[in-house]
Amino acid sequence: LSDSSLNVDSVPRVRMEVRFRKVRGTVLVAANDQTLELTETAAFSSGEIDGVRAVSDIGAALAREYEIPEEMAIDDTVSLIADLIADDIVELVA
Amino acid sequence: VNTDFTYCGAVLEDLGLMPEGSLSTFVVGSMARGWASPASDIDFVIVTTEEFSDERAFSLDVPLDPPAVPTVAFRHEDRRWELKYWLESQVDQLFDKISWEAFDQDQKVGDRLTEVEVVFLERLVTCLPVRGDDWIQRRRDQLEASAFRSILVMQALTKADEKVETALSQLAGDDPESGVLSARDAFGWAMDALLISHGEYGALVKWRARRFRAAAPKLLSFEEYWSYETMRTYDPSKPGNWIEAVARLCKKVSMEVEI
Repeated sequence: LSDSSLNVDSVPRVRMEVRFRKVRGTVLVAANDQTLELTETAAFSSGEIDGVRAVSDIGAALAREYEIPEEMAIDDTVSLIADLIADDIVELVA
Repeated sequence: VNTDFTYCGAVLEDLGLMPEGSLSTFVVGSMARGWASPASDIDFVIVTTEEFSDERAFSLDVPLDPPAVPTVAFRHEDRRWELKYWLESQVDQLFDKISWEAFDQDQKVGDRLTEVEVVFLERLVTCLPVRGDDWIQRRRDQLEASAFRSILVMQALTKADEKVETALSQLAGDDPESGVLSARDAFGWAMDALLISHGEYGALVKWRARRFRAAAPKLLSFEEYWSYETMRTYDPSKPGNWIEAVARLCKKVSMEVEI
């Protein structure tokens, strides 16, 4: 599955070769010889990615956690997942 | 369970094994945690300002100055007692190694700590005093403020990542049995990282379930932990499923555990 098939029903999964570290409150992601720093909300959403739940479920969890409108949270989640796919951090399993 | 070991000080004095001017004496290990069996040793640490010397002592090597920890073992009332004599100056050197400055300079500083050094520091957290409570509390506070926990968590997460990569590589290389063994290793390291992050130190596998119950991490219930530990969901016809489940759990731990 490619980035182009990403939608709210897609199921993302963190690629196995990706390494995460939570250093003094900041979540760092290492993939392809680059290290990225995740924002708090991106870190939360990344933590919800389990290879089972759909993008819409992750967005709904984000909405509950930060008390923001669900539609907005799902849109943000789609954008985040697209970025994570582009950085080879996440892949789609469905 | 007896948690009062103050009587041991007089026993050690009678045997000529309590140096004058020692700063602190404490019981460590399974006895101090209340996890001992009838056959368990009783392990002591005695901290001194002068080097301990006795014909009954043998030495444990440490990369410190002086490079040895004198150790004495004997039987008393049907139980083996083991005493380790640490110099205060060696303890100072050890704390220098686990400073935040040392960790910030090299996050792999944990790889240069020896087992003897790590065990000494780990056991400070749960030791029970014979004498010298003030010394213990001061050093515990110092340990809590140091980078020790982060050093060990970082080390365990790195090992877990390495073992996951090995397991997946072996699985991809049509060697699932080796992959399962590597995944078990990865799981052990990930659990160590999780438990250490909750202040539950100790690398011995035999205590992991007790440490898990003591830490009670929110990330994983004891039942889930025990299911992985006993490989309850492992299907011999589909070993890859278990390996991948362990790999996902390790990833989850590395995202949640604070360094």
